[in-house]
Amino acid sequence: MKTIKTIAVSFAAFAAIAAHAETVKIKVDGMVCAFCAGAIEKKMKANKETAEVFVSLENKIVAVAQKPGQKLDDAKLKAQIADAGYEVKGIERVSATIKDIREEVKAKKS
Amino acid sequence: MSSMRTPFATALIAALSAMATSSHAGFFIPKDITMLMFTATPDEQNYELAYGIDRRVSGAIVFTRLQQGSNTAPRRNLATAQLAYLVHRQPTTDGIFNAYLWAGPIATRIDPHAPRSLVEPMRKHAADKIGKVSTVENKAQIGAQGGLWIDFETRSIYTRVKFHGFKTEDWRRNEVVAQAMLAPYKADYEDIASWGGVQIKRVSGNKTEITPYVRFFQRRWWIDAGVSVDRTHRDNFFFNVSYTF
Repeated sequence: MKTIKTIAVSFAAFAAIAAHAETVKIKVDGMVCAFCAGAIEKKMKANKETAEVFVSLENKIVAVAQKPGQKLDDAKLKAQIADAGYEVKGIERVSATIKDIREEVKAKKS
Repeated sequence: MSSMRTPFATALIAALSAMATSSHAGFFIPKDITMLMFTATPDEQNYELAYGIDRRVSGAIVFTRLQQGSNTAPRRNLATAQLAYLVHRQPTTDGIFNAYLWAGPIATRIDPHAPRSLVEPMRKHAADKIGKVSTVENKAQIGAQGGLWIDFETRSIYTRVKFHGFKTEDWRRNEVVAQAMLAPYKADYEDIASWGGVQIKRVSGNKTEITPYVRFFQRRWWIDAGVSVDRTHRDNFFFNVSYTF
C-alpha cells in the first residue's frame, strides 16, 4: 500500500512538473516588427491559461508558457493570431521553458 | 497679449508649430489594440486615438491643427472620425504587405484663436472664390476625407505610399506621401530597432517636401524625427511619437 502511495505521489509530482514545463511554440509568418508582435503578445497574455510569453522576430516564433495544470487550445491560439493579422505556420508543444527558449535564441544570435 | 510672449513662449510655439503632417494618420490597427499618436511638422499637429475593432476594421479619432502654405495663411482645426478597412494583407516568409482604405467625415473651421491678420486673407480668398464670407468666419464646415495606404516591410526594409484627400464646401487638400527606410541591423522584439530613411510629401498647392528622418522602435513605443531639406515656411522639424497598448 505504501509503495502504491509513493508511486502515485511521484507520478503526480512528475505530472505537475511536466505540465508546468510545457510551452506552446508557434511559428508565425509576416511578424516583422514590434508593432505586429506587440499585438500578438497582448492577445496571448490575455488568455487565462498563459503564464509567460516570449516573441522572437528573428526566429519567427511566439512561445507561450502555460500555467500549471492548464492547457491552451491550439485552435483558439490560431484564431487569435489570425485576428492580429498573421498566419500560423505551425504549432508544437515543447518541454523547454521560456527561459530555455530565450537562451536558445540568444545563442543562435551570437 | 502679444507683449506677454516671452522668447521662451515664442520658441515653444515655434517648436510645436514645427511639428507636422498627417503623413502618419490613417494607420490600420490590429484587433483589440489601442494606439495614441502625436505627430508634428511645420504644417500640422495631429493627435490620434485609434483602436482595432476587427480583423479587417479599425477606427480612429483625429484632431489636427493645420497651417498650409505661408506663415500668413490662417490656421485651421480639423476633427476627423474614420474607419480603416484592410483590403489585403499578405504575409511572406520574411515580410508583410498591407493595403487598406480609410474614410470618414471631417469638421473643420479656422482657428478661432488665430490673429485677425491671419484670418483675413482666408476670408478674402473665400469671398473671391465663392462669394461667401460668412462660411469661413469661425463657422464649422462638414466634409469628408479618405485615403489609401500601401506598405511592404521586412526587418530591414520599409516602404509605403499614402494618398489622402480632404474636401469641404470651400476647402480641399490632397496629399501624397512616400516613405522608404532601411534598418542598419535586424532588431529582435526586445531590442531597440533603428531605422533611417526619407519621406517625400506633396500637398496640393505646395511644393514637394523631402524629409530625411530616423525611427526608433521598441515594443510599444515608436518615435520618428526628421528635418525637411527644402522648406520655405516656418521651421523644418518633423516629429512623431506613438504608443500602443
